Amino acid sequence: MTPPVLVIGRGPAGMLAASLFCLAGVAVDLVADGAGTLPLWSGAWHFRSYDGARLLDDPWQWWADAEGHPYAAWSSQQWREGWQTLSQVWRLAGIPTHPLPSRNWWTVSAAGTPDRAFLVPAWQYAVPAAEPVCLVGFEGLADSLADVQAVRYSRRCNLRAEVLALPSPPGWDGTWSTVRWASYLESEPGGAWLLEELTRRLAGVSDELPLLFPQVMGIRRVADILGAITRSTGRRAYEVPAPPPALGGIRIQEQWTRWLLRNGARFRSGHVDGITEDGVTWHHTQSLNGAAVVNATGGVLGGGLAIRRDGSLWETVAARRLGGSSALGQDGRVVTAGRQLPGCDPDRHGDGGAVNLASAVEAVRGTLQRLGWQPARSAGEGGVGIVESH
Amino acid sequence: MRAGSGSWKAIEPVRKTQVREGGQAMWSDTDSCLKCSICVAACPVYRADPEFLGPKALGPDWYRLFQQGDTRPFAHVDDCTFCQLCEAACPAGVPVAHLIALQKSLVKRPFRMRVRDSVLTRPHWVARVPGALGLAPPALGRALGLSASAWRVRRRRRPRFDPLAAAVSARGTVGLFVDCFSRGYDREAVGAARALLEVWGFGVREVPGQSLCCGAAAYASGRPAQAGSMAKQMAAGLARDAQHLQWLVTLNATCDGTLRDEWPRFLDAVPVVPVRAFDDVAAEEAPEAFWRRLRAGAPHPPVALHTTCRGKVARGEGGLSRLAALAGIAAEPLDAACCGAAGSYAFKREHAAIAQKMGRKAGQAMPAGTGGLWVDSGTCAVHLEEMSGVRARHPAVWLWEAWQQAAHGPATLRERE
Repeated sequence: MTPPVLVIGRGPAGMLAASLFCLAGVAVDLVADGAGTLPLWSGAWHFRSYDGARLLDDPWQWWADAEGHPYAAWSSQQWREGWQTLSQVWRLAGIPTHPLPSRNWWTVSAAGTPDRAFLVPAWQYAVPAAEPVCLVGFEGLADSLADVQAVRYSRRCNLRAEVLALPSPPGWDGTWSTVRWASYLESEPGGAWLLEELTRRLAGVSDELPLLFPQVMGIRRVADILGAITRSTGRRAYEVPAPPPALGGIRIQEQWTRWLLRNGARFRSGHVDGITEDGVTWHHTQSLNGAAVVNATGGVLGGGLAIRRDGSLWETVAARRLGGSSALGQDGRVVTAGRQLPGCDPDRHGDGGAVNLASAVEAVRGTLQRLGWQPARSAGEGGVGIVESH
Repeated sequence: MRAGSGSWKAIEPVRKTQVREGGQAMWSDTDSCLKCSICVAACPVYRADPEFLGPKALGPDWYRLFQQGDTRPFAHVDDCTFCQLCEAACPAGVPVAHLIALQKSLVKRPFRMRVRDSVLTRPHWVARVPGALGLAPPALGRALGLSASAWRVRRRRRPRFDPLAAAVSARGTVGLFVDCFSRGYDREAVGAARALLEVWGFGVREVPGQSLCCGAAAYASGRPAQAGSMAKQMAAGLARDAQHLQWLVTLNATCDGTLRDEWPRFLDAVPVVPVRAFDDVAAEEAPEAFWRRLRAGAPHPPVALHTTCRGKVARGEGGLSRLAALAGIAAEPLDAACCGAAGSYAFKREHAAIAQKMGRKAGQAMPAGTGGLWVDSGTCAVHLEEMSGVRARHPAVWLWEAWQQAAHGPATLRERE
């Protein structure tokens, strides 16, 4: 029996790489110590949001002109297929998104600043052109400062931003985290309380403005809750990111994990401490066989492992080099996916989504090629085959 | 937000022994908390129980106060099921769940609860006289703080042994680790696992030879010192009874994780031979001919799979799907993190409401038309069957029934309660 491909890490890059293996009909195990960083992420993918300090309108053009970036050589066709594959994976997993845009969407950050994003979950506010908005705040939700957000938004966009302040719900206390808010709002009394408060206080807000709530509008039932608000108030209702734990990432994590499980992926708990020719070592040097390894850890939290520019693999806490380069595949490199690749600076460039996407696609394609496996159906040059299994 | 009626609860200064209980090397990573709250996202109790403060507040945040000499426990710390999903989620290696267990050890409980917990944290005593519970008047149970669930547990007998199945033990002898619940109440799972191992060519010895407990229940109830001495007792029992065996196969995910992960890290004990979970053994050791025969048998109705929380923590998820796929049985993972049974948690009256709420949610996630539920823990199976009405059994029981059916036509093994 051929051992599965091993993907190390359960963040967006690891989950995407594992999904692509599943779709290509390849057995895959996700090996990770820890749950991954998804609960720290609101769920929006960035293609390229900045050119220097300037917000970018057209990421396609930026990539067409790109030089010196590890994925500068990716064609528009490759990017298009990559994004389509990702949004298809999410659709299969039950994670709804806004359509893929031709320009960056406008959205709003947790701080209230206007932001650009590319593939955005349906619950998050995303529009083609910035517009006047109404920011909704809850009394007592930590760091949900609608009035501060509104000042910032109108100053940066030169557009009107109104504020709708809702009180804290019955039973609220200062220990409530975003997860507790979301649990409450998706409970029956929570939903009723919300609609009642909205109806009572909405009169002062201009008619046409979309209502932007902090991202606590339920865990599983976010679409129902936002839909109910729209039905009862006649206004568009969306979320904007809130402090962690981020409900967007939690929803994505739960749906995506479930979809991977239903498609035969296996999640294995344990600390990987080295990569070998035959798989990985984990749990203090026990070996775990794999047909190939994709390292997708070391992202937002630093993870357990990091890849240096020369392709060598390091354990970050003890700054210890793991394995000899001869053990790391033909050219001494570990196949890697994730936003922390050498030569990338996603925090400054707003291209973490693009780097995650391209590196996962390349890692999977390269692995399939090296093993001599063909994807079940090719989506064309640059794409990874998609099989509609459900 | 401390214990008591909305105010600080008066509690005596912590005794030296209590500090020692948790004051081992296990606390080396406590200060590495990043405040990322990923543990809060992972906690199933926090979503079900509005009074539960969650793993960040009760684990690392509380421990910082504890280190400064404030030994008072927070209110509702006992609501933690000790599923350990928080600890498994932590990117920084903070022993979140074990810090919470340390805090539980500082809670002052009424005498009758201590009496009850003395029994519940020693399930190996209960396993020696499993009928005793049924004889006790329910009023006594109520007085001691037992929930109604404790009275609904039925003993399931060992399946009739199929003489055709007894094969030569050409592959050597392995140990079938008989946990307390299986010993007392689920001989069906023990019998099925034994029969399967014999079909696969192994000689089987059930170990340990006497009723002992790995310490999981005691640790979950905030009795780390008691858990340690129980673990050492069982380790000695295994050293005596299992030393010549190739490996041990476990039927219960909690005991499995306790033996392999918690013993060396928190309880200063080691199993004498390698420990493997039943689903790993089945997938890796059952001959291909076994699976071929199962797949050639009559089609089975689709099943749902519940990997218990402690199974997710110790090994991950997806192992049961792999077994179902090998057997040619359509299976759907149950959309539930922790069912709320959590060993003896659901048997405690103060936890009944939360356990029911978590169990109902798991039951509602059951796909329509599910013909059965595979669960790698006996107490979770009882709880989920009660909450969903779907027959819940250990995978060994399901595989054994499928094998019987493939070998002899219609199933000869039926639930006999």
